[in-house]
This record gives sequence, C-alpha cells and structure tokens, in this order.
Amino acid sequence: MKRLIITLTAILTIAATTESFAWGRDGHAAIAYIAERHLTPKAKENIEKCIDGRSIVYYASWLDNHRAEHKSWGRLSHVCHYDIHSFEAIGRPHQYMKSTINKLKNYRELPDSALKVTIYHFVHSFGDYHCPGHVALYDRTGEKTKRVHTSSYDCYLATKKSRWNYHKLWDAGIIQILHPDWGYMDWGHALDSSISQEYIDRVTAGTWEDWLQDVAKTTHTVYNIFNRVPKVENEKDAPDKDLSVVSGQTLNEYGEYAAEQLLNAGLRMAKIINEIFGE
Amino acid sequence: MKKFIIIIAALCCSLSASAWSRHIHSGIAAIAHDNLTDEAKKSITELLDGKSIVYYAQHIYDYADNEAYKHTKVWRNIAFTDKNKILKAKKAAKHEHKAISSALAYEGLVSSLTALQSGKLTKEQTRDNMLCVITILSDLHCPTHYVFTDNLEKRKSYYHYNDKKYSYMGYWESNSIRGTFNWKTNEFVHQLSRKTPEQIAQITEGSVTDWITGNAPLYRSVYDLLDTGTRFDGKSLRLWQNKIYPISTEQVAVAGYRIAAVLNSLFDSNAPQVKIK
Repeated sequence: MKRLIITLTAILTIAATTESFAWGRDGHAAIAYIAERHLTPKAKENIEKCIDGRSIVYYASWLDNHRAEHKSWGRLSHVCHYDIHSFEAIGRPHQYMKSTINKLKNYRELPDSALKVTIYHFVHSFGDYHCPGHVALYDRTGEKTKRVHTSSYDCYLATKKSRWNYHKLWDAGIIQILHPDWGYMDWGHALDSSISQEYIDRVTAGTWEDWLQDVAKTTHTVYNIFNRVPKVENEKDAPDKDLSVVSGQTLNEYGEYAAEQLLNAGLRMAKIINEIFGE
Repeated sequence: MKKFIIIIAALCCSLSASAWSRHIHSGIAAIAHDNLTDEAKKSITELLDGKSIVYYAQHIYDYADNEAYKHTKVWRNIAFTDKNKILKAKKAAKHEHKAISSALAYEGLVSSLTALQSGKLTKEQTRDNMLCVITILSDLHCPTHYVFTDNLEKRKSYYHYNDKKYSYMGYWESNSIRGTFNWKTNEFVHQLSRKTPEQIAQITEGSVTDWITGNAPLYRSVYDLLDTGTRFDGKSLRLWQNKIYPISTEQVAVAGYRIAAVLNSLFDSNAPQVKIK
C-alpha cells in the first residue's frame, strides 16, 4: 500500500513538474533518437566525442531544462515566423538556426564548451521548428505587419472533454494523449522500422530552409481549420460553444501529422549531422 | 550472534524504507545485464529459468511480506558515523532511532555475498541470494539509503511546489531522474551503458565495501542540496533539478556496472574477482 501511495505521489509530482515545451521531452527524444539511427558510424562517433561520449538523445531537451540559467537562451524565440503569402522566412528565429548550423559547420574551430552548447541548441531547436505550434504566420501587405496565425488560442478537445490551448496541444499534448506509455525507443520503432530509402530521399531533398518552409505551409492549412478563439486564463471567461471542436477523429489525423513531423525532423537532423560530422 | 538475529527479527514487522522506484531498479538491472559476460549471463539465465535479472530487479521488495524474505526488510539502508565509516551492525541494531537500527543493508549484502562465494548453496539459495545482492547494491547507490547518524534531521527535508509539500527523500526515489528524463528500461541502457573500458575499470576498482564507503561523502553532500522548507516555482524547481539529475543518472550507471562486476565475478571464473572487503 505504501509503495502504491509512493508511486501515485511520484506520478502526481511528475505531472505537476513536467513543463510544456514543443513536442515535450518524449517528442524531442524521439526526434533525436530517429536521427541517431540514421547517422553514419563516423558522424555518430565524431558528434558523440564532442559531447563526452553521450548520445544526442540525452541532450534533446537540454535547452528547455537549462534555458533559465542563461538570459540569452531564455530570450530565444522558438517560434518560426513566415510571411503568409510568400512563405518567406522572417525574423530572428530563422537567423538563429542559420547561425547555429553555420557554427556547427566550423565546429573544429569552436572551443569545446561552445561546441557542446551549439550541439545542444541544434538538436533541440531543429525539432522545435518542425512543431506546428512553433510556426507563426504574418501578413505584411498592409501598413503594419499583422500576425495572422498564432497558436495562442484555444480549442475544445472532445477526447478530453476540456478546453485546450492549441499551442499546448501540439507541444506534447497530441503525442502523449495518443501514446502515453511510449518511450522514445517505441517511437523510433513505430515510425522508423521499415522506412523506405525513397521516403528518406524525398523528405531530405533540398535545404533546411526548404524543409522548414514546408512545415510552415502545412501548418497554415492546419490553422485554417480552427475558429480563432482567444486564449483565456479561466474557462468560465469564454463559453465552450465558441470553440472549434477537435474530435477524436481529428485528433487522430493530427496525431498522424505530428508523427510524420517527428520522423521527418529526425531524418533531416541526421542529414545535417552526417554532412557536418561525417567527414 | 543469536541476540543480533533476534533484534533484526524484532525490527522486521514495523519497517518501511524509501528506495529507487521500480523503473529505476529496472534500469539499473538492465545496465547490469548489458555488462554481463556471456558466461555469467548463461549461468544467471539458467538460475532464473530463462528470465533476465531485470525481471527480478526489486525482487526483495516484491516479496518482502513473504515469510522467506521477512529478514530482508532491514536490508534497505546503511548507517554511517560522522566520519563516514559504516556503523557496526550490532551497534546500529541497538540504536534507539529506528532509522539507524533498521539500517542493516550492509550486513545483508555481506551475508548474501559470503554465501554466494562459498559455493555451497542450492540452486534456489543461489538465486535468492543473488537477487538480494542485485536489489541491495542497487539501493546502496541511492543517497537516501545512506543514514548519517549525525545528520538524521536532514532525512526529514521537504520542499513546496504549487502549494504542495514534497519529501526530499521521496524526490530522490523517482523524480531525481523522472523530473528530467522519461526513460523506459531499455532507454536507461541506451543512455547510460556507454562507458569506456577504462571508465568501467575505474568504477569497479576496489572491493564492494570500498564502493559503498566511497559513495558516502558524495551522498552526504546530496543532503545539502536542499534547504528544507524551500518553496519552488517552476523556474527555481527546474534550476534545482539541474543540479541533481547529473548526480542521480551517474549513480544509476555506476550501480549497474558494479552489479555486473559482482555477478561476473561470481558466475564467470575468467572475470576479474571482486572482493567483499
């Protein structure tokens, strides 16, 4: 009985202390694990040498865990900004990814500590940028740039019979609701066991800019499904009837899309690491 | 000796102990399994009728209420003096404070290891003693299993988060890892069973007693990582956890390698021998 109480207390504590960030721990770990499965032996050996022999999966959520320790990391935006008409990337997040990848390309010139942190940033943020909740679309045709799509609104989740923030739904919500017991190896097994080379070639064709633009375009379609009901602190402040209802079927479809993004992010992450560390 | 056994028996009915949670015990056993020699793995598999040691990772907890295992209920914690020396069993067992009088894990470990090294056990006795060793050695790499006789108050440390009170000991049992990683059993192996042969040799150097006494200074310092009564918000809790998870994950890895070293020593004549003292 005592052990049962201890276990329940532990579960409640976990629930209380697990923070909500893009994809959540499980999603980020799954992306890094899928990437690791596709590394060449040379690239795997080289990148692990840079991070004290650990797996990149160990650091998949390092940035979320440690962002409070450095002001500059806390200020980093992990939402990618795009023009809604041209899907041209705008703003600092895109520059940040560009700078991170450029630093990695010159990794031999970086001091060890700087290299480690750059790898931690990359394995986390690259996953973030494949999360629909981390895409914001802007209309720049008027006098002022207007944010058209933001994930800061709510929906009604039929499966949970409750109001959910759309951003939170994508950040860990979907994958945890659909597969609460899966670890990152389960995700790797489920998504990456029999993937074809043709699929890998198709998903990893082009540049990282092309890939993220592709995520933004799809996200635009997903956003349009929703009535945009503002996020509220208290459910009583807005009646649920105004909300877009996410049915179990829709949730499953979103789940398919989320799973596809986890896989694609992993495959693409592997391609970048192989190109840089595989020499 | 008789008196000592009676004291232990008297304590058995009323004890509870904090421990690594089941998922961490499984993770440690899986790391140990991953580092067994083929010869040791073969012998152990025969003993366990085809199962892995992971299946029995916390066997003595699961069977604690079984008559045959009641004596193991005091084999959870270990008591240390203010000089970080293991408190002698007879002295500990007579102590008025239950946290100390019930901290006889070292005696349990030595007794099981001695029996196993004797080579005079039946298959069933070998199995039972081996499972005791696995659970106890696993526990003895968790700081909350170290009872520092000069510092008992710290065992009652607690913190608040979201207006709820949590025990520091309870935190170590599970959230010292779960607060940062959601690893499943095989994921512990993937993350932590990746030391180099040189690192493994360093971790498993010395006797079992050396390992345990070597852990004491670090585990004593772990009690200083929390000012009891601290009220955390999300950010300060995260910052605090960042100091803990590197310690907890490393101890889990070390426990796995050391259990493997002991089992290899017992079940593979070609493996390096591990002494008890």
